[in-house]
Amino acid sequence: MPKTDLRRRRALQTGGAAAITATMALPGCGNSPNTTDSPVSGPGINPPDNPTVAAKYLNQKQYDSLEALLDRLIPEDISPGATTARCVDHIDAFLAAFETSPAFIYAGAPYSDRGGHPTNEFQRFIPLDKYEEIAWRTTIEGSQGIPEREMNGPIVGLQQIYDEGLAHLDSRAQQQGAECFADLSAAQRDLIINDPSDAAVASFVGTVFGEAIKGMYGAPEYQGNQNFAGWGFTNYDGDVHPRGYSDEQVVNADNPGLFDALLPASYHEGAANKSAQATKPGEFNPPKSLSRKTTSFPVIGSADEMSFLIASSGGDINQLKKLMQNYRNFLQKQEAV
Amino acid sequence: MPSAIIIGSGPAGSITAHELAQNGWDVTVVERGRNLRPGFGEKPSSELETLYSSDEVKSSRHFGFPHPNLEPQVGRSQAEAADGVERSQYGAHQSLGSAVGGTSLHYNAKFPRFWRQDFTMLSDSGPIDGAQVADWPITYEELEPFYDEVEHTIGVQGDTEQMPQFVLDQTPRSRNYPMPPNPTGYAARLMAAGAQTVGYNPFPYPSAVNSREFDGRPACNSCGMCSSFGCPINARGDALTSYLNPAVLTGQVRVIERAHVFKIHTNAAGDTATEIEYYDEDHVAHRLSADKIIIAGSPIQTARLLLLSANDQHPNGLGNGSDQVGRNMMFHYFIIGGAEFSYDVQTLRAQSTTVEVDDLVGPFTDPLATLQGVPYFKGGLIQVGSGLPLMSEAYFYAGLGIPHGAPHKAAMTTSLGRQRIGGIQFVGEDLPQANNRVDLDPSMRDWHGLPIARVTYSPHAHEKAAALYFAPRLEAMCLAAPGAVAAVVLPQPTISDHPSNTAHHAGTARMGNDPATSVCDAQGRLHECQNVHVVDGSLFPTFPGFNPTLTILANALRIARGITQGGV
Repeated sequence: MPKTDLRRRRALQTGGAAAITATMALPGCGNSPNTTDSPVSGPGINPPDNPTVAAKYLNQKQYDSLEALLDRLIPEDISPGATTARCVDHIDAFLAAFETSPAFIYAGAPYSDRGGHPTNEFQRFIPLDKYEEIAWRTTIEGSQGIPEREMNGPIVGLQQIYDEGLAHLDSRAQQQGAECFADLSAAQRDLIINDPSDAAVASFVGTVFGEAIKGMYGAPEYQGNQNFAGWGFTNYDGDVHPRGYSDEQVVNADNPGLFDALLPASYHEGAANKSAQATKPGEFNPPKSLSRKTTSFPVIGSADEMSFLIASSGGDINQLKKLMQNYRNFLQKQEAV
Repeated sequence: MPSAIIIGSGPAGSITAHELAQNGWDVTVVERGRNLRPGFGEKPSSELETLYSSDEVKSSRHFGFPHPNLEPQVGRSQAEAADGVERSQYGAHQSLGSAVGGTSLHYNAKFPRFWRQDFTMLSDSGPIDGAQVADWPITYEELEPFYDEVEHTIGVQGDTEQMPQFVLDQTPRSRNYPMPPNPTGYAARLMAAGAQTVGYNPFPYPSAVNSREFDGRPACNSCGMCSSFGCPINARGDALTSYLNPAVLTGQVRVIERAHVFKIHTNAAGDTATEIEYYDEDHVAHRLSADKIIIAGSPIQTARLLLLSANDQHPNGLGNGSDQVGRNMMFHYFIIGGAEFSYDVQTLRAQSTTVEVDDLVGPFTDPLATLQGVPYFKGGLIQVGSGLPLMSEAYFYAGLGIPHGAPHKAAMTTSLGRQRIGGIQFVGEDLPQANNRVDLDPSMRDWHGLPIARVTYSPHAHEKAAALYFAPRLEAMCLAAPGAVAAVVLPQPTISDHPSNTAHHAGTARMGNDPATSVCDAQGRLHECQNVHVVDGSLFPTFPGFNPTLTILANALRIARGITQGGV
C-alpha cells in the first residue's frame, strides 16, 4: 500500500469538514436545531449489526452553552476545533451513557473499518458487567446514597457537575446582560472561563477540557472527532488494524532525514552490527560542560506513564496538573538553566 | 487427585495453573477481574476473540483495570508517613490490571532476562545502609532452564547474533530466540545511532511479540499501540493465550471471574491453610478448600491478602512472623529522555520498543554516590524508541500547564511531544527498604467494604545518586542522535519523593533461606504455613532494572514444577 494512503484519505476528509465549518455559526441560546445529524463521512459507512446509537442528556440550552464553552477550549482556527469535531456530542453521549444498551462507555472491538476491515465493529458498544456498571454509574450519576457506591464518602456525579457548571456559566452571562453563555462573543466567553477569581468555573473547565480531549482526539464512534477533525491537522493515523504498517513504513521515514545513511540497519534484516562484538559495556563520561541544548519548549512523556496519569486524574485537567506538578517544576528549572 | 486454589490469573497464576494441570492437579483460579477474551476456555488460543482495540478512550476509562471508584489505590511518601499523613495520593496510580490473564493482556511484552550478577548482589557488592540488599536463594543457573522454556512456549523475538557479548555473558543461554526481531522503528534507529556515537551497544529488544506466525497466532503489524492496549490481532504472547486458556482446555482448571479473595483461613495450629474465602460481585461470601493455596495477586494485592488474613496464630498477618510482609515494596523508576528532531520521526510505527541498550546496568562506583553514603549503585536497561499516542499527547500538554484555547491548538499542531521526539526510557533498579511498604489503609475501603492497600514509598539515596549519574549520560546519548536539535531528560527519583507511575512492581513477600528476614522459602512457601505458596513478583528479594514479566513467569514455573515433581 502507498505509504501515505491513510494520511491522504484523512486529509481529504478534513478538508471537506473545514469548508463546512467556515459557514457554521455557533448555535444561539436554545433555539437552534441540534447539529447532530450523521457526519459527512467517517463511521456509519459500514455499520455492524446492531450499532449502538448514542443518547442525549443535555437540554437544548445546556447543549448550546456547553458547545459555546468547548469552542473556546479547542477553538476553530486554521485547523478544525471542538465545533467541527462535535465534542459536545461526545460529552452528551457520555453523560447519557446509561440511556443506551449496552452503555455508551466502551466502544466495540477489535476493528473499525478504517484499517481495511469490512465493517466497523467499534460501533457496537461492549456490554458492561455488574462491576463496571456500578463504577460508571457512580461516575456519571453520582453515589446517590447507595452504600456500595460510596464506601469512602459521597461522590458527585458528572451529570450534576455539568448541570451546575453550565447553569453557573449562564448566570455569569446574565450578569453581563446576556440570556445565556452561548449568546456571548468569543472574547466575552474567554474572559469568564479564564477568570482566576471564579473557582467554580476553573473546576468545571478542568473537567470539560479533559473530556473534550477525548472528544477531539479519540475514536469517532464516541461521537466526537467527526470528519476526523482531530486526526487531520495532527497528522495522526488513528487505529490502523488490521492493516497495520509495512516493514518499509516502520523502518524508514516517509520523508527521509538528512542523516539516514548513518543509521544502523533494521535488526529484522539480521545485519551483523558492531554491538555484537562488545565484550564490556561502553563507557562514556559526558564532558563537564556538556553543551546542553534543552528543548526550547521542553516536553517529553512516555506512553506507559501517561496512561497511569490519565487514569489517576480521572481525565480531569486540574487533577492532572496536580499530578504533574513535579514535572512542571523540573522542566521550568531546566528551561531557566 | 491433588488440588490447588490459585489467587490471581496474571502471568504467575496462569503459568502455575498450566503446570499443575499438566500434572493432573485439580485447579481453581480465582480472579477479581473479568474475562475480556471471548472464547476463553472454549476455543484454542489462536481463535480467541478480544474486546481490546486501538482505542485510547477505552484505555483511558480503566478498561481491564480496577476502577478507582470501587478499588482506589492510595499512597504517601516516607516523610509524609513520619509526619502522620495517612495518605496523599489517591486514584489509579500503580493499580495493575484486573482481568482474566492479568496485566499481561495489555503489557508491552518486553522480555529481557535478569543478569547472573543480580542473584548475588549482596555477596558480590555488599550491603548498603538503609536498604535490605539480599542475595536470591536461587542462582541464575537454576532459573535458566525455565527462562528458556518460557521463551519458547510464549514466543519471544530476539537475536543472540546481534546481542553484545557482555550481555550474553551475564545471561548464558542454551539456544537462540524462537523468532527473529521485528522491523526496527525509524525513531529507534535514530536513537540507536546516538547510543553508538557515545560508545553504547544497542541490540534488538527481546519481546514476546510475534515477528512471524507462532503457535497459530499472526505476526505483529507494528501498529505501535502496545502500552495499555490489548493486541487486537493476537500477535502478542501473554499469560492467557500461552498458559491459562490451554490449561482450562485440559478440563483440569476452572476460573472464577469477579471473585475477590479476602481471607485465607488456617487450622488451629496455624501451620496449614484450610480454606480461602472470597466475595462474588453481589458481595456474597464463598469458601473453597484445596490441598495447596497459591497466591499470585501481584505484590500490592498479595501483601494485602496476607495482611487481611491475620488470625490468632498469625496476629500480624498470615506468615508475617518476620514482620517482612508488605515491606521491601519496590518500583522501578524511569528516567524518561528524548531527542528533539525537526521533522516527524514516526514514533508510533513499530511495536512498543524495538531497541535495548544495556551499557548502564552497572554496578558503578562514583564520587557522586560516595558523597551520599552509597558505596555503589546499579542502573538498568534503556528502552529505545517509543512514542505517545495522540490523546495522551493532548493530556500531556494540558498536564504540563499549556492552557486550553490557542496554546493547546498550537502545541498539538507543532506536535513536539509526539511526532518530533525520539524517546528513551531508562529502567532503574530500586533497592528494597523496610519502610517502603504496603499496609492496610486505616479507614478507606473497597466496594466490598474491605480495607484497601496503602503504599508508603520514597526512593533511597541509591536511586537519587544513580539518577544524577545517569541523567547526563542519557541526555548526551539523545543529543548524539543524528539530526537531534535538542534533548531533555526527567530523572524521576530526583524530581519526586513518590514512586514512578509504573507497572513494574516487586517485593512484599521476599523469598530467602532465613525465616527471620524473609517471608517465603526458595520454593515460595510461607515459612510459617506449609501449604501456602507465593509465586508472583512479591518474592523478588531485589529488583534489577529489567522488565520483570519473563522472570515472574520463569520463577513461577520453577516453583510449580517443584510442587508437582518434588512434592514440596
